[in-house]
Amino acid sequence: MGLLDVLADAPTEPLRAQAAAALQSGLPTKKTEAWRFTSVRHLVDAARVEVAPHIDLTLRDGVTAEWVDAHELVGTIAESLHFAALNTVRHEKVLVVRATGADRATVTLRIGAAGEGRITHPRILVIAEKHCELTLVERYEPGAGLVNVVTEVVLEDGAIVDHTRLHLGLDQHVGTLAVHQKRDTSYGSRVFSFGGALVRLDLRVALHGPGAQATTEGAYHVTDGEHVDHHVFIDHIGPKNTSHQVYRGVLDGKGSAVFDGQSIVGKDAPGSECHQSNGNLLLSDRATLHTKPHLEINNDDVVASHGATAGALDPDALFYLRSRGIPHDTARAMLTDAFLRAVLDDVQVPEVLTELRRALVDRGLSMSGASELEDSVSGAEA
Amino acid sequence: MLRIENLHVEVDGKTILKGLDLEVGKGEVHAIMGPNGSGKSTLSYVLAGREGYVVTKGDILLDGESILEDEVEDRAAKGIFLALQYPVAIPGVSNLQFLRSAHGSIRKARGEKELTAAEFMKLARAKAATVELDKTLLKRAVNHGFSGGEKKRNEIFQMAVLEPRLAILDETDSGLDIDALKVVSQGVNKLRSPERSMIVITHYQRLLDHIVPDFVHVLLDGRIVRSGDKNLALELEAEGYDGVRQETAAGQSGQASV
Repeated sequence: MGLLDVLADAPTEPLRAQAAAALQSGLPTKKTEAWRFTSVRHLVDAARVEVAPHIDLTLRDGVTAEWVDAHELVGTIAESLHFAALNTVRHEKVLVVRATGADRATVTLRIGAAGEGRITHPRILVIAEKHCELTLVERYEPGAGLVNVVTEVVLEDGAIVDHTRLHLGLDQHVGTLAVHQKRDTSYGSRVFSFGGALVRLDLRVALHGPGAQATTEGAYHVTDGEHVDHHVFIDHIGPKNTSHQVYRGVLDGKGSAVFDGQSIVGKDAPGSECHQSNGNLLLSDRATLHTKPHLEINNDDVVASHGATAGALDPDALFYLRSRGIPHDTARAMLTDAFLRAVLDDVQVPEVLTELRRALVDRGLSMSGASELEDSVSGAEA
Repeated sequence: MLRIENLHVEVDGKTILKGLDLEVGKGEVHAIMGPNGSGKSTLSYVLAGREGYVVTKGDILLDGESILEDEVEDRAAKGIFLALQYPVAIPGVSNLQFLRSAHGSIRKARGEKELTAAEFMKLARAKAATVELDKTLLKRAVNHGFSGGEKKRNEIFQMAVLEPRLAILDETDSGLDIDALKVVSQGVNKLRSPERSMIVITHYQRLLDHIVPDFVHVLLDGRIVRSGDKNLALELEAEGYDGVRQETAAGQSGQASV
């Protein structure tokens, strides 16, 4: 009983039927490697009422969006596995966002929460056509219930996509974000997960290229009763593609976080460059972190690096700030702000940056007025 | 102004200061000289209130009131400033942001109004000029990628902006060439005032050619063993710490035999 009860009505459409078949073995359990550190029981045990997704859109010129019953690309980018398979079986319509202009276009998607005791399965397909530029903001609204979303992003030759995804104060969220990059494409993503009872994102980038670049960044913060899990998988399939992965986390209280970053460089991917790093700041000795950056390289012509760190705040820096009169909590906030800045500074949409800064202040990760000061200082300098 | 009485301090269970007495009057500049391991840096940290420096006996009084219970930031608000021997680099925090936050916090703690951004910028620029701090360093991350001289100049710049009543300069001369030493010393001298007391901690006499102290004390094995005027520094330079050490040892054994 639970989430899979819906499979009793076997779907007939091939895509859905295939996904349903994949689900016959059930949803993942604690023993499933990719779900070892994230308690899947909380997600699957409860019976939930399915509700249609609610998505608000803000579009600018050069982008179109429409709800369709089906699209040939759906299910070809994201693998239908576990929760993504459940989405494939149960989603209703597909929101297709298409960037068609050479000038950078912006689209903001606001995806509503499911509501108490409910589940929703949004399905989003984003297509950046040849040589088109798109700024995509995917924002999940806070609220109760479980959102099980699949977002598929296709970059046609020469396309550029800047993608910011916000998980701010969510309840339960399981997301699959799958990206397909063709020749000379550039994809940059930043995922912000601040809090959440259970937030899990599987980001999978397929670098076909050649000449494709992917920069996947993320920042997360957890405290008591919060758990976030980022699984990032970068697949270097074709030659001469580049990937950079930077995730930074701050863990406090009894919060827990998982980072699993995997990059594979295939045998047909010479000339690849592949970097991963995951840094963590542990503000409490009761917080739990599982980090696992790993590389698998199957040819000799590759530049690669990876590493993970976890440490406390620098006591020398903390003392230094306090010795100048800055109260302890403000000093701490200055240091966590500085730590997350590496990711935050890359956000290109001003409204999103403002919202993120506010979220940082609310969560005690940044000092209030820091941005205003910065603006006024640069203003006064100018 | 500042009175240190029979101060005993432990660090990691080891006693470093063993009954230190010192009195610093308003506007006075006191030099504390001593060899490595004598407790000079411990003295500076315990005055600033750093965690891990445990006072086991004695007291530190500022205007007659003990500050031992005060947190680091509370002491700063009371006007204590420590210029560090090794200023810390803080990537991601701009020098200006840091200093404005410090300046604002101190004023707030004292019940004074914080400056506006424009007022603060004006103040910062004026003070930067007095210590010849390159203005581009204001916007850079705190001490990040600064040369040794720039770091020390930045400390004096912070002191100029925060205007402490008691400034403790811990080995401000270390790592400076003669030109940088001159600039830093001139900066310090400009900040000398009848309202501001200073404790200048140094291993070598050369700094005291530039910052001329009113009093010189020799710190040896956790206690002040000799005090005098600026000539004591010259004497030390000629004889080295061994001379004082032998005298002290002789004095102690003499006492013991009475």
